Amino acid sequence: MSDIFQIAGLGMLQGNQQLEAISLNAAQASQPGYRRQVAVPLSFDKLLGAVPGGHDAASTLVERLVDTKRGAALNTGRPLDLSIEANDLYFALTDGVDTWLTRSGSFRLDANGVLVGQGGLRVVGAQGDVRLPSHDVRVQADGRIEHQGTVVGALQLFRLAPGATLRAGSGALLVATGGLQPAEPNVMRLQAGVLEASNTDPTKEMLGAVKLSRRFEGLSQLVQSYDAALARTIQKLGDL
Amino acid sequence: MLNAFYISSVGLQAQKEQLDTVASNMANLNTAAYKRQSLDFSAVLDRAVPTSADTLPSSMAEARSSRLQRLDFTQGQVHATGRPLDVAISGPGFVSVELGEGLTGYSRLGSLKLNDDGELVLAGGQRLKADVRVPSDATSLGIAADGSVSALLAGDRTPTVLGRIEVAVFTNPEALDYRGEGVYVMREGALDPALVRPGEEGAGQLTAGSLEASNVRMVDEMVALVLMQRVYELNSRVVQVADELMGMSNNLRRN
Repeated sequence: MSDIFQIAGLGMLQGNQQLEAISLNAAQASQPGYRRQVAVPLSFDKLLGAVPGGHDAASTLVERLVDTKRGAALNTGRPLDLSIEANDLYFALTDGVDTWLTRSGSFRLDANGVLVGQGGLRVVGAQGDVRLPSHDVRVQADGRIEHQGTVVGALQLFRLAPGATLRAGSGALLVATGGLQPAEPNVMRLQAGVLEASNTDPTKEMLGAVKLSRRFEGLSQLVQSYDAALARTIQKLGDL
Repeated sequence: MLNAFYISSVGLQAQKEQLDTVASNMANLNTAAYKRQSLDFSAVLDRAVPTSADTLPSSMAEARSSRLQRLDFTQGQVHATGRPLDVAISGPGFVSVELGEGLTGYSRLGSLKLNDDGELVLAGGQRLKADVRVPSDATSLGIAADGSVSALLAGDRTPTVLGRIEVAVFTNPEALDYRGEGVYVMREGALDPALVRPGEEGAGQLTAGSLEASNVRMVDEMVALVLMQRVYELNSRVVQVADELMGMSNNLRRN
C-alpha cells in the first residue's frame, strides 16, 4: 500500500532536485563561462528497483547534465580575459590534486605571478603552471603568451577523453568523469579581450519551472487523495 | 527544496552587488583617472552553500577572501587641459602618495596642487612621495614626460630641475584595492612594486597639461543595468516557484 507514497515521493523529490538546478542556472545567469545544468530525472524502474521498500532521501534522483550550447561573446578588452573558439575545448584549472574544466577564461595573476582563474585555481598551461612577469601581456590565438616581444608562457586547451562525460561542478567549473586530454596544437584558437557569456536561457528555466511545478502539484494531489482514501478505509475498519 | 531558496538568494544578492558596481561606475563617468570596477560573479557565488561536496575544490581559501570587485586598469583617454599641474600617466604604473600612519597609496594622478610647503599634492590633499619642493617665488612650473619637475627660480634665466616623480609598476595591479579619492592601496601579501623612471621598463610617461579620462563605458554600464534587472527578476521568480512548491508540500496533510 505504501507504493503510491513511494512513487509520488520519488517524483516530488526529483522535482526538488530539478528546481535546484534551475535555481543554480538563474543565480549564475550573469557569470561568464557558466554552462547551464539540466537535471534529467532518472527512470523510475531504476530507482524503484534499487531501493526496495523505501528510499534514502539524500540519494541523487536526477542526472545533472551540462548544456554545451555556446554563450554570446562579451567584449571586455582585458588582456587576460580569454575565450575559446571551438565549442568542444575547455580551459583546465587545478589545485594540485584535482582538475576541473571551464569555459570561463577570466584569468588574473595571483601574489606569486601565477595565472589563476575562478577561486584562485591555477590555470594548466602547456608546461604546468603559467608564471608571468607582468599583467601587461598579449595572448596569441595559439595560446602563446608574449611580454614585450618575448614568449613567456603558453596555454593549453583540453577536450574530453573518448567516452568521458561532462558533469556540473561548482560555479563555472565542470567535471570530466572519464578523463580529459590535451587538445592538438592545430585546433587551439583563443581570443583575448573577449569572454563567453553564461548560456543560461531564462525562457528554458521558466518553462522548466512551470512544468515541474504542475507535476509537483499533480503528485501532491495524488498523495492527498491517497491519504484521504486511507483515512476512510481505516475509519471503516474502526466501524466494524 | 530549501537549497533552491538559498541558491536563489545568493543569485539575488549577486545582482544587488552588480547594481552597486554599476552605480559606482556611472557616478564616476567623468572623474579624472577613475578605473571602472566590475563584479567578480564567481567570487560572489562561491560564498553560496555548495550543492555537492564532492565537486567543490578543496582549496577555496582565496575565493573566500577575494574581493568582489575587480578593477579594470585599461588606460583612459588623455585629454589636454592646458593647466600645467594637471598630470596624466600615459601607460601602466602609479605614483606613490603619503597616506599618513606610514601607509602608502598609489594614484593615477589628475589635478595636482602645491601645498603650503611647496610640495606636490593630489586634489584630495595626499602628498606625493617625490623629493620635490617648489619655492613659493618660483614660476613656470613644469613636469616633463620622464617625471622631472622643473621651475624657474627667482633671479634665474633657465629652469632648474627640482626633483623627479617616479612611477610604481606592479606585476599584478589587480592586487590593489580602491580606497577612494583616486587612491589605491596594496592588499596584504601583494608584491611591492618596482619604482622606475617614467617611460622606462614598461612604465608609463607623465603627460602634464592633460588629464586621463575615466575608463567607464557608458553603453556597457547601461546594458549591465538592464540585464541586472531582468536576471534579478528571474531569480525572484525561482524563489516564488520554490515557495509554491514548499507550500504544496507543507499542505500534504491539511488537518
